Amino acid sequence: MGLSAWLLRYAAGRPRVLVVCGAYGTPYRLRVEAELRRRGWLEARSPAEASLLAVCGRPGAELAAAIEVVWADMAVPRARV
Amino acid sequence: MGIALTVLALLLGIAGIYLVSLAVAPRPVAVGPFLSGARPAEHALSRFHVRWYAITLVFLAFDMEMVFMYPWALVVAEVGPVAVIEMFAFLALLLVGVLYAWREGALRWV
Repeated sequence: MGLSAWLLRYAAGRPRVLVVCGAYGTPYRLRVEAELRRRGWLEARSPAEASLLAVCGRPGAELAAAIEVVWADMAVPRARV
Repeated sequence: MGIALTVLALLLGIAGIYLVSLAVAPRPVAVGPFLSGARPAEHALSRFHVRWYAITLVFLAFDMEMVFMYPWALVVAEVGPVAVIEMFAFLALLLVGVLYAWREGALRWV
């Protein structure tokens, strides 16, 4: 009856965003957070509930490895910015 | 003869179903708890020092002793010295428990 599709589209229109901040990423993080407030989206508290991964700035080697682990823990549908 | 054949057929059938499930079943997903990009460094049961578990049980036992002391504290003034003597006898018995826990190392912190 299209209810599942409607629910999926509704959920996809309001993703929870997991924000990661690397080096020199603070201005981008602030802009991301302002945009989330403007759209009414919420921040994810863990990769399990996240649909969007927003990486701000330049992650170093350790942070890049941690981001890969977090990306692998995120369930589909997911997107990476 | 018939029974042996039946048992053999059952065993082969069960083995066949197991092989089919091994081939068809999806592989487990490699996700873990969220530790900001780290994987657990120790077994889940080793995450907290065992001293917390021992202290928890000792606390629970003596909390049940405190349950008896709360109403006693309310009435001891009007009952008098008899109540005091009885409660101290009770505490002396529990002190034996404290000494046992002490000797067994349940109160050791490091």
